Parts: sequence; C-alpha cells; structure tokens
Amino acid sequence: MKQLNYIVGRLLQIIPVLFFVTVLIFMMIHLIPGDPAETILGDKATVEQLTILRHQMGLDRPLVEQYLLFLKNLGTLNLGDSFIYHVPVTDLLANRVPVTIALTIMSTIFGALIAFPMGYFAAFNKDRAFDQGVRVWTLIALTMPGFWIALLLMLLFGLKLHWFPVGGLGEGLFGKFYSLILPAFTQALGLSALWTRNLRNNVVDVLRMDYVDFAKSKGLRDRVVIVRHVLRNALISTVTLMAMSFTRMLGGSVITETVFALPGVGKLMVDSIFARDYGIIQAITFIFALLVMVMNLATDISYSFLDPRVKLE
Amino acid sequence: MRKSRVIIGLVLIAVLAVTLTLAGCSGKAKNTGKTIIMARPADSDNLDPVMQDGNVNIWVFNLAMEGLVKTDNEGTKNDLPALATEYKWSDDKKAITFTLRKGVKFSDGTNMTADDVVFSLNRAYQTKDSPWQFALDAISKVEKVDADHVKVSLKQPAPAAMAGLAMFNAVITSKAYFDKVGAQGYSQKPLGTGPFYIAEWKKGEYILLKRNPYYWEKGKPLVDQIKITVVPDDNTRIMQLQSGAVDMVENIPFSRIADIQKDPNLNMILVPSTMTYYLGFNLTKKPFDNLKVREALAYGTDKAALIKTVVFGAGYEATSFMPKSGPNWDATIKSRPYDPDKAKAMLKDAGVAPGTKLELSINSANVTQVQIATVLKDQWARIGIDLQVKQMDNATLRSTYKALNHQIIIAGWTNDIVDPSEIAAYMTYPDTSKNFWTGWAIADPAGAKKAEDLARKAEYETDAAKRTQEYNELQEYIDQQMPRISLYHTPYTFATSKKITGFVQTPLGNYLFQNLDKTK
Repeated sequence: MKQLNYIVGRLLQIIPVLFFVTVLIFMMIHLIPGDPAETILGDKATVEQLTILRHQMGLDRPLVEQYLLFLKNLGTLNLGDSFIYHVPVTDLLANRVPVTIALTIMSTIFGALIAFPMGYFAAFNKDRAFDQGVRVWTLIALTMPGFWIALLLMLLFGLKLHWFPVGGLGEGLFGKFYSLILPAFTQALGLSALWTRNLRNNVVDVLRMDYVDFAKSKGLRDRVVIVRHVLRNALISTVTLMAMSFTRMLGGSVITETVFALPGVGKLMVDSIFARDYGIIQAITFIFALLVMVMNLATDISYSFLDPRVKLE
Repeated sequence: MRKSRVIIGLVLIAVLAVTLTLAGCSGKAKNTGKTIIMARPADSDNLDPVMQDGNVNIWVFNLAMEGLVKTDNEGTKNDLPALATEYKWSDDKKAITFTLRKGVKFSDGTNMTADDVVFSLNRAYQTKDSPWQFALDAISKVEKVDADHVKVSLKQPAPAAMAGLAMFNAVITSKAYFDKVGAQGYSQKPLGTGPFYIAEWKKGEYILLKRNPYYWEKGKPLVDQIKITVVPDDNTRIMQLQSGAVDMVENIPFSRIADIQKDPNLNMILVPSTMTYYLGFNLTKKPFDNLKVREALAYGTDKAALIKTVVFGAGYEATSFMPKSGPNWDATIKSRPYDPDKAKAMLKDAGVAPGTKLELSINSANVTQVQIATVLKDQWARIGIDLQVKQMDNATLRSTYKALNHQIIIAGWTNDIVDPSEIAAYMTYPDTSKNFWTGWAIADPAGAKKAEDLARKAEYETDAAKRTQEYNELQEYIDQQMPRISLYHTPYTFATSKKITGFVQTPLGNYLFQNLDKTK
C-alpha cells in the first residue's frame, strides 16, 4: 500500500513539473531569433507575403494567447500541426517514435551484452592482462566519435562483406530489425564502454566489503555470493547510468540517425529547430519530458528490488 | 529466482542467435525490374508548386506535373511545347493564346480541360502569399476561349512572361481534385499530367513515384517506379551507390568527385547550373558605404584559390552578378585581379587602418560557407583586415541579414526562370529584397535608382537585341558599383551507376526523367 501511495504521489508530482516544462519550451523557442514564416517562404518572399503567412499561422497574436492555445490543444491531446510539413505532428511522430524506441532498446540490449561480462570479468581479474585490455578498449570506444565508428562499420559490414545494408530502414518487421542491428551496435559500443568501467569499479569496491567476506565465511557457494551479494549491490549505480543513457537515446540519437539514414525522432527534432517548426519542437520536447520523468520513476522503483534497504515511502 | 534466470538466459540467447543468423544473410539490395532508387540529402516538405519553397520540393513534383510550355534540356529556351502544342502572341504583344494538346489526361485518368488550365494559372498568379508570384506578375487575366484554347492577357508587353509560364509554379492541376482534397491535401499529393505520379510519401524516408499510365507522350517514361530516399550523410549516400543499394545519388560533395570519377562502376555527372556564390556587403554600415573599400576587398580576394580549396576545382570564376549558365550573361566583364598590394594601398587611401576588424556572418551548418570564411580570413589577413567570422544557425542568420544587421554575408543564387529579369529584379528592386540584402537603395539612393531604372527598362523591352544591350549595361554598372563580389559558379553534382542511361538535369535543376532507363 505504501509502495502504491509512493508511486501515485510521484505520478502526481509530474503534473506541475510538466506545466513548467510547457512554459519553458514555449518561452525558449519564441525567444530565440528566427521566424518560421521566413523559413517557409525563403528569401524571395515579400513583406506582404510574410505578413499574410504570419497571420495564417497565428504568429501575429499575443504570445500569451498563443501559449494558452498551445495548452488548450495539449489538454485535448492535440499536438498541433507542423508548420513545414503541413500535417499533424502526431502523424509525423507515429512513424518515427517506434524507430527511435526500437533503436534504443536494441542498443541497450547489445550494450548490456558487451558491458556485463566485460566489467564483471575485468573486476575479478583486476590489474591482470584482461583488465588492462578492457581498460584500453573502453578508452578507445569512449574517445572514437560515433559517426566515425558508424562509417567504419558500414564500410566493413555493408560495403565489403555485404552482411548488412548500408544505411536506411528496411521493409517489413524483419527488414526493419535487420537494418537496425548495425546502428544499434554503433551506439552500444560507446555505451558499453561507459557501463563496463562503471560496473568494473563497482564490483571491485563491493568485493572489498565485509559482508562479502562474511558470506564467504558462512560457507556460501561462490556463485551465490556473486549473484546475491556482489552483482546485486554493484548494479545499483550501473542501473542508474543505464536509465540515463536510455532516456537520452529516447530523445533521439541525431548522429546515428543521420549517418545510418534512419527516420528517427532526433533528426526530426534538429531539423525542426533549424526550421523553427514550433509545433514539432513543442510536441517532441513535451513527450520526452514526460518519458524522462516516467523513466526516472521506474529507475527509483528498480532500486527497491536491487537493494532491500531502499523503501518506497 | 531460478525460473527468471532461465527466462533471461533464453532471451539473451535468442537475441544473439537472431543477430548471428542475420549477419550471415546478404545485405545487398537487389534491384529487380525497372525501379530506380535515388538517394538525396533531405526530404521534401511541401509539394504544392505554388506554395513550396526549395529544390527539395520542386525537383520532385516536376516529375509529376507539367505546364503549358517547358524549357529545353540546356535551359536556354523557355517556350517548347508541353501541354500546349502552340501559342500565338497578339499583335500588341499584350496577350498570348495557347492551343491545348488534345487527349491529355491527369494521372488519375480524368481529362485535362481548359477550365483546369485557367484554375491552375489563376491560383499561381493570384495567390498573394506565394513566393513565386513575381514570375507571373505581368499577367492581368487568364480566360478560356473555347475547349481547346486559353488566353493569357498581360498588363503590358512583357518578354519574361513566357519564362514565367514555363516555371514550376505554373504547372497544371485538376480543379476537381484540388477542390476535393483542399490545399493541405494537395500539398501532400499534388496531381498533374507528368510522366510519373506521387504514389507514396513516407516523411523522412522516401517518396515513391510511379509511371503515369495515361502519359500523353507514348512509350514514356521507360521505368515503372522511381523511389527517392532520404540519406542525409554524404558518405553513406556514396557507399549506398557503391554497394548497389541505390542507382543514383544527388549532391556529391566536391571533395569526393575525383574518387567517383575513378570508380569503374559509376558515372560522375557535373551539370552546369546557375549556382552563384557572392560576398554581400551591407552598404548601410561603414566602411562598406565606400566604393573604394569594396573594390579593395575585391582585389584582396583570390577567387582562384577559393575555387581550388573550397570546390576542389569543380567551379569556375563568377564575373557578373548574373549566372554564366543563364541568358544574357555579359562575357566582357572581367574580375578584378588578385592584387593584395593594390588592395592594401586602396584601403589605406580609404582610411581603413591595418588590423581593422570586419564581421562575416555565416550559417554554421553550411560547410561551403564555413570553408569560404576560413580561406577568406587568411586572404584578408594579408591585406590587413582582421575578419571576424560569426557563426549562427540559418534562421537566425536570415533574420539578421533581412534586418540589415550584418556587415558581410556569403549569399547564393540560382535562377528559377530562363530569363535574366528575376536576378536583375532581386538585385535592383529595393522593396523585395532590400537590393539582395545590401541596403544599396538606403545607402546610395541615386546610385541604386539608376540600376533599378536600367533593370525595369530591360525587363519590359520587347526588342531582343536592345534587351541584351540593356542587360549588359546593367551588369557593367553593377560591376562598377560592386554592392557585392561575385565569387564563383558551381555545377550540380550527381552520380549514377553505369547501368543508368538517359539522365537529364537542366541548369535550373529540374529533372527530366522521361528517357531515364536502367540496363540489366
């Protein structure tokens, strides 16, 4: 019951935060210089043409009125229309959000598959050759720019070996999944380097703890000690890190999407900012603010499973 | 606990197994039948010919739509028959009567009528917030004469009117279709009589064009489908072409031209275009109000070095403010030669002290502008100018120069019509573009007025020889006054697989894919 109260309380807290998010998004995009009407009509438009378009787009109304309209639309789950594409923002997002979510989930799975064994074995072989090797590898993976890794992978697996397509989103469910493998792997490399280092250090710290010695002296089998006591405790901060990476990727990975020509949210967001397409910017920021808050809540809840001392109250 | 561990283990094994299985499959897309895939850097945003702004849109809907007349492949003539088989000027040169081609159908199978022509042209020239209205500004009335004839009346004799009618915004659409889908629906899927029709548009991914079964030119087009995909990264686009996943690629960076020319499986195509780059001064700010300073900066700019470093030699020097590949270009104008010593002396005479800071505002996302700025900073340092490069995003930059808050910008231009009146008006008419964002008419009203008068006179001159002479006079005057320095012209860069034949792009950029084909 206490847990349920906690979760409901946290969910209710989201409402005022989201309200401030709407104020912030609205203020920020309207305060930066640049005019959507000018972007749409280009340099060759006359002042008269710009005035007509600004009126049609409602940009000549007072800012407060524009904000209230935005809130009203949001209340009725209407995210508005894109200035540039002339279609509802929901239609634009409907195709792109699944791509970004699939890419994020696949990257996280691949990242975890690389990071967990590496971090774990590096800690158990502290300062030996394997650990040194992992350290060098994490350094390289962290410092190599994402677009460079992407190009190298495409050159090798796409152009030379023909194992994967060179960019683009495939057709059908299988084709889509297949075309996301290389981009997900690209993202996973950078992520896993960070997670590996974090997990390695945590495991090294936990192994020094008295309770590990105590568990061993109780006569528990090594496997039980590792799974119940070492890994579980070591994972707390890694899970936080993973949750943060996950939410960041959900916001769209512009470089990966650009290099692999994937129609995801990140590229749309950046293009919309350059074009001052207020509708899209507002909608995406709002949705992802919501997602970040839900993810944070989920991470907090996960602590109580990993560490029984953490109570959701 | 044990059960959940087993499940997690199984999931991980499944993911690995699928990944490894997929890794064994071939990723090479096989092209079957007559579908041509073309990759380009950006998606379209609005396909309404009257309301859109930009090549990403024009080059697509032009494959699906046609006007009464069209330009030739070289972009020099603008009155070749398209949906009209012939036309006749009235004796007073104030009206043109077009004879419509018989049996033309829209791609939905309905007949094109004179009413559709009147509707389409009326919308093109009467829509006040259309950025292309200027090209049809001479029109006073469009009326149906009979089922086969349409008359276009002009406010006054205007030689540029035909060029305007050959432009992309004067394409013919079905009135019934427009009424049915409305302006918003039309902007997503316009209907025309062209060789292809827009079958599907998946935003940010691709546009699929299919062969128009009712196309009036028998036996054309030669391919069933053209799929235009969006691949923003230059390297990825080229790799897709090399791997055979796509057949044609738009917008090859100049740095990669030599690589592609060496590839035995690819064709590198450089299409002469009207693309012109300039350095634009804001004449309302000191010291740019002084002609001596503008000229000195021209002497201090090494155009050959810019062409060599920025476009890897693929461009050629611009001399006039008008594009070399466009009509009425004046061949007698020569650039001021690169002479840093003379530039320094002139700056000294003009009272510009060594070490003076000047500000160049550029679009941070535009690689060409960043490269020009880098080279220019070095070149101008040699004449004692400390060039401060201010990078901003395009929307901010546009607001800055439109308000004349800049000092210097790098501007680009392409013609939209086969007539010099468009660029001449943009450069000299103070109301539309503040003299191409130079503020010339504000800083020097008498000088700018002279240019405006010359441009207005030439625009409406019906005698071709006289018109050429007047445009030459205008170009020479602008070269002498130098509100901006013309830097260079660049071609459109396009690469195809060797299997592709019949590729045509005009200097205006429009694709003509009626004869496009792919050999097995």
